[in-house]
Amino acid sequence: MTIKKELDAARSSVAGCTVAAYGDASTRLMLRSSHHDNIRRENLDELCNEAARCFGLLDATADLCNMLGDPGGPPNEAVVLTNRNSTVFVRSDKLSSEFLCLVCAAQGDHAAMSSAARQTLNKIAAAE
Amino acid sequence: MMATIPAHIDVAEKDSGGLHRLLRRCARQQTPRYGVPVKPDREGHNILRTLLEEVDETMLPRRLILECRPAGAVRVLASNRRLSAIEFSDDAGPSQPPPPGPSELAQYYASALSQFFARCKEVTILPPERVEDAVSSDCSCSAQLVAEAAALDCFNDQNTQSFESFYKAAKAVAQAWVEFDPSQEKTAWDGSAEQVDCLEKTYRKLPGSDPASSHKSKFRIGAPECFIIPLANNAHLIASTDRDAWFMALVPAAQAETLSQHWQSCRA
Repeated sequence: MTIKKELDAARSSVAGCTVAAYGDASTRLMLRSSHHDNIRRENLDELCNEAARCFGLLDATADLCNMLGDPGGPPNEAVVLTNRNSTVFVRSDKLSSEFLCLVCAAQGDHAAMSSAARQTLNKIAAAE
Repeated sequence: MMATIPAHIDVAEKDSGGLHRLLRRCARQQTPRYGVPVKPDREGHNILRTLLEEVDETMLPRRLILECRPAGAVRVLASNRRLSAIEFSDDAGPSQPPPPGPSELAQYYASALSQFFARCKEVTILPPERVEDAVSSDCSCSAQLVAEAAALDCFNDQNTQSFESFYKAAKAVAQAWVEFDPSQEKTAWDGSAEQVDCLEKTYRKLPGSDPASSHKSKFRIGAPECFIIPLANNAHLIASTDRDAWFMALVPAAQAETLSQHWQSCRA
């Protein structure tokens, strides 16, 4: 299955999902995406910027993780809510700059979004 | 050299949104130095809205000058997205001195400016002038508060007032929480010293959180956002930012979804 088809499958598996995208936060490049025709390149670029911001926050939680007794390092996923949508960002455990995100237009099922994003990212990583 | 927009471009009629913002951007960039003429509506609310949006985009101290025909001119001192002083060129300004307290002050500014603009037939907004001296915050209030006092519909999508119930709910269930104002000062907190310290360290480590590079930060975007991050031991970090102010809380996992729904209901 190609990355595009994996993203299509992820998008259709989550109710209300408008964008599924796979990118690299360090280069701020969206590598593949699945979305409606009304999503522009600028929207995807903004998602990359959002991912970089998000991962900056994840990396900043090291002290919190230590305090909570988690030796596994910073977390690898986050939900970002804005006044327009909710987005789940999941980054690869091995290559932390690669990420997958799912965007829902309104209040999304974050658990389902997170699970679908993680599964899809793992499938893409396994295929590489 | 000061120039005005050609007369055939009627900003107020054509588009009070995009075109007007573009013209104001030109004025702010000073390439070249344009004055932007606007025709007031009956209550002068469109001028007030334009002025407040300009104040809301002003961080460093600036003097905003509006040439008003035939009423005269009004000079507005703005800094840190706040309106700090108004000065009218004639004796049409309010006879009373500014009252203390942000709410009263916002009402005072809204009333004085609305009455003044309602008497104008055309207003030209000149490019902002730099003000070298520090601006006193004794008589300042946010552009948002003045907009609320004037019952204007601007800033509706980023109104910090609507976050109050979210903060209250988050604080009620949080193991620890910390608030930071736009100047990155820790203003309020609760929880154990260790938890509060860790939350503060997290905030300080955000890209661009040090004052020297804060102007470059990808985080200082102003728009409201809420980050929900699952941590170990059934804890979640909730980090909400609105107009460069931050709220960070450590909450039980069971409360995170409820709080996210609460946050989005505030934004609806």
